[in-house]
Amino acid sequence: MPTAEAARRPSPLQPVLAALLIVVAAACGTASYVMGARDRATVAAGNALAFGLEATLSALKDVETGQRGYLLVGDDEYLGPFHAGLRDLEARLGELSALREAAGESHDQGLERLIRQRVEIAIRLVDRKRSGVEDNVRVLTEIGEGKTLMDAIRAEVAAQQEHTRSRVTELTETGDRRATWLMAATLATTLGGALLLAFYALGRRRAERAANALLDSVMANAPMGLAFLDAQLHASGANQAMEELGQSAIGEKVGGGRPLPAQLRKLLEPRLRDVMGGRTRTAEVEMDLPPVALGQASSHLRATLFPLRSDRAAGAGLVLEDVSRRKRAEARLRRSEVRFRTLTESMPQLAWIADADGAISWSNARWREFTGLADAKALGWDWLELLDPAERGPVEGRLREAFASGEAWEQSFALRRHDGHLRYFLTRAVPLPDEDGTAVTWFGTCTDVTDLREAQEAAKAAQEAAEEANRAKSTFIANMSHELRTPLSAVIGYSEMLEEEAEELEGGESLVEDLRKIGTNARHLLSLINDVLDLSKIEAGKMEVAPEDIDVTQLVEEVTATVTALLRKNGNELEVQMRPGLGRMHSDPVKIRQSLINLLSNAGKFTQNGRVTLEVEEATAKEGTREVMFRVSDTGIGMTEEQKSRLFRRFTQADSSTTRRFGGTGLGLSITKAFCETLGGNIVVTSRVGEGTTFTIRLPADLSQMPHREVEVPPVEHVGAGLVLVVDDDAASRELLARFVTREGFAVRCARDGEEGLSMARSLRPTAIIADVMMPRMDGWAMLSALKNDPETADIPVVMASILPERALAVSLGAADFLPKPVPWLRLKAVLDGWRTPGLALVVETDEAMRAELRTRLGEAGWASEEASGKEAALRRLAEAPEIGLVLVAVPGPDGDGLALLDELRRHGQSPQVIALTGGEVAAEDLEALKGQVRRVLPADEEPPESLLAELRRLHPRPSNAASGPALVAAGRETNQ
Amino acid sequence: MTKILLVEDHEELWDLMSRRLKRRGFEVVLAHDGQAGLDQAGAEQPDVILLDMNLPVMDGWTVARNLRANAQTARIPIIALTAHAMAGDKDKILAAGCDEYHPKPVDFPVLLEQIDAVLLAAEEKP
Repeated sequence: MPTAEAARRPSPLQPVLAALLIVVAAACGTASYVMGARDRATVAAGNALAFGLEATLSALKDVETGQRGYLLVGDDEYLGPFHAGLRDLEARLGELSALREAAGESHDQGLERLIRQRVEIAIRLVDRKRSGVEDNVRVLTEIGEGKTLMDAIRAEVAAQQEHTRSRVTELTETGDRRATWLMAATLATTLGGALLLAFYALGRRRAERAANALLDSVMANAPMGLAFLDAQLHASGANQAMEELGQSAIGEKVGGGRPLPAQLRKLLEPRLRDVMGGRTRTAEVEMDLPPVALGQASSHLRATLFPLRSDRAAGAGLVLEDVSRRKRAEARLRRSEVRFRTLTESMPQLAWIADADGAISWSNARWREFTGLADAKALGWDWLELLDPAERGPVEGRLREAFASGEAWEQSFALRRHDGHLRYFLTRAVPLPDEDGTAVTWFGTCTDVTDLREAQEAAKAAQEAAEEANRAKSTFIANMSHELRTPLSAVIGYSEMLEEEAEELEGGESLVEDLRKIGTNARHLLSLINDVLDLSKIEAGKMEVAPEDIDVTQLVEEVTATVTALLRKNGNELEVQMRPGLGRMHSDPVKIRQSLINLLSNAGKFTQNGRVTLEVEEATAKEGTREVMFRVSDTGIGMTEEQKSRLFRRFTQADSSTTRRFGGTGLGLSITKAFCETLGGNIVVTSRVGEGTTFTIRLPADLSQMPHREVEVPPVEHVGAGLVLVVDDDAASRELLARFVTREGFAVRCARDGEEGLSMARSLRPTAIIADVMMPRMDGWAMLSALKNDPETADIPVVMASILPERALAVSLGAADFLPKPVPWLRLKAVLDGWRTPGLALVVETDEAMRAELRTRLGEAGWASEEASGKEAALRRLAEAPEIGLVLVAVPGPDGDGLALLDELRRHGQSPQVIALTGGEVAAEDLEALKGQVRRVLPADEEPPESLLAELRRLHPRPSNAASGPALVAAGRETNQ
Repeated sequence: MTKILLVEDHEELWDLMSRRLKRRGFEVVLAHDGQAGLDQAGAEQPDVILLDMNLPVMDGWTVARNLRANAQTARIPIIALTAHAMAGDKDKILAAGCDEYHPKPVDFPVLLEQIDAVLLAAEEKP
């Protein structure tokens, strides 16, 4: 504001102008005086002239009177005055001419001539009288002439007098006017000068006051302590900051005329004396002060001293600055640098830093060791020579492209070691943005992946070999089944034909029986081959369902007809219980038939002289649809729990000895189970050792109406690191998986079988799926195939978990990974980490520097972050998407803001993780309450914030294995109040 | 007498089959490879052809397609005999022009039923 500025600062022209005015006033006064004096002289001269004229006239009158008297009386008595008059007149006339000159009148000859004529007449008259010549006529004439002359003289005198008087009057008037004007001018200029001076003084005073106010306000608001010290080292004029600083760092007030605190005095006195003594101009002293109270940090102060001279005595100015925070920051930076060095020197990777254009400006020792380049050569662009010449162009191109765009660079290529060996590296570079966000340097690492690559290649080769072997196996099975069937066809055919022919022969009965045995065994062999074929179909996922309308009664009759003979062999009785009201089924009769035959022949195999029962009834499924239940029970040897658990595994019978005793491939039950599940049903077994075994198959009556179960999916409230779908029929195992996955920061949904899993996968689109293999309705393999065949779900990574080592199958069906059961948690964690979407954290903190610091920490721990300056902003942000997974909040925060925020969160049931950072001032009961509602309460001013980092790592897992409870972390820090 | 053309390269099988079919009163003509089968079908004009799919010289699928393509033989019912019992085989065989499908090993009573069925069907056709 220029006007205010001008008003405050008096113009330096003002006093000059005032002086000028005063000089003018003095000049006016002097002029008035001088001119007045001159006028007065002129007036006096005028008056004297008028008087002289009068006197001259009077002398002339005396002469005339004397002449006249002598003429009349003739007495000589009159001659005395006459002559005296003449002398007087003569004197007067001389005087008059002088007066005239003095009055500045022109010399007038006229009056003098007239007077002299009159005097001549008088003298002539007197002389004639005395001589006695009496000529009366002549006398009379001359008297007459004399009279005329006298009149003329009188008139002349009067005229001259009048003239003189008028000049005097005029002069007086002019002088008066001039004097008035000059007086006025003098007054005006004097007044003007005085006013100017007054304004100037006022301006000066105002400016001085403003300067004082500025100084006061600077003193009061300076972020550093300011005070003045006198020769006795008493401090005065201390500002607020100085008093506070004294209080906080020394525990004593500084200023107010008190002596300098002893602690400071000890540290400062020598330098102060130097400064006061004029030996040094200024001095800076850095001081470490021990903590004032227990639990506080020590402070670091910097004092600046400068001399202050007043007319009375020497003194010094003291500037005290709290540099603790900066010192701490510097120390942190140093530590961070040491950490960086330690890290980069101890890491197995080659590490380097490159300029914005890509030239290497720093590298770790490992880089130099590897390249064998001398220090100077290790920098710049020389490393490109280590590249294979064929790769050099593309690598350099990609690098320059990445550096130009500011995108992180990642590429694999080989570098030649100093000994000439090529090693493969995965090279990554990330931009290190400077403050304005433009990348100026790049931090890069080269990870030696040669061994990994070789291992991968070996693994790939192994996998290819395994796949090849698998293909070979499939081909082999297909070929073998063909090759086996053909001779078997002949065996069966010939035996049947011979049987027919033998029947016609006389006495051929014994032959018939033997031929029948050949036929039976050949058919058994055929059934084994068929089993193997079925299994290979199941494994290849090629099992097809051919549903038809089935008369259940007829189907059961066919089955019993087939197995009766077999059962009788072991002296078993078959009892069939058909519940009334059995209708028709729409399903695959071949598979149902085979399943029932498998179960019945199985029962017959393990039962001696007992009873095998087949019960068939219709039931209603949970979903309300019709289903048919087949139950096969025997009175055989039964199974232990352990045997039962291995029951449905392929190529495994309850006991390997049974294979020898009872024969069979051990595939029957696996195939039966697969068939039942393919038909939308399931199979369960109950058994007691020595009492018998019961298998129950439940199949939907109408395969086409098999409910495509739409699973109701509750909305996902908290996505966190991603959503994982756990599919397992066993509740305990599901629960365990879900808990682990939740602990890793993922949201979890569970499905109880393949079908539900499939439907949830379609509706939820999870980040990943963990699936069990053996499940009712639709097993893991079937679900996996269905997922991979649906383009909408094909991209979701699926991890298969199974008790059996079926990795190859899992991989060939498109699983992302395979985990054995029980699940090794560390491996699952490693797998999960691969899918983690970065979490989003919100930093609630008023102090901007602190916010930035916390966000850096979060970034280091793998969190993306946003910030809010207070409660309101935080709540607004929390209500929006994308979802915040972690809140870092200072408690109590300004005006208890932080605590209030936590209360709000709890009231609204929002459930991000919270870390509360506490300052020193949190009341004990508040702290207790906090512990109930947040994940962690941490002190905020810890340097470095190790516990925060540890907590973040735990929350957001870099490989670590710590368990933790429910999650909210709280941080406290010294607030600025 | 019903004349059956048996196209089968496997000696034991054609021996066995022909003998068993003859015992049932059929007249049996033999061919030991696909091409021969095709020629015999034209020359003998059998009532039914039992066609193995896995044949030398010309495979069963080609034989079936050629038979169907020739007006002389287009109407002769064909029963495919195959050891290819993998899923989808049946459809492929029917698509090649066969009327029936019989997986190996031969279930003779079933085969007889199938022969009767295709003969009946052929008679019913206009």
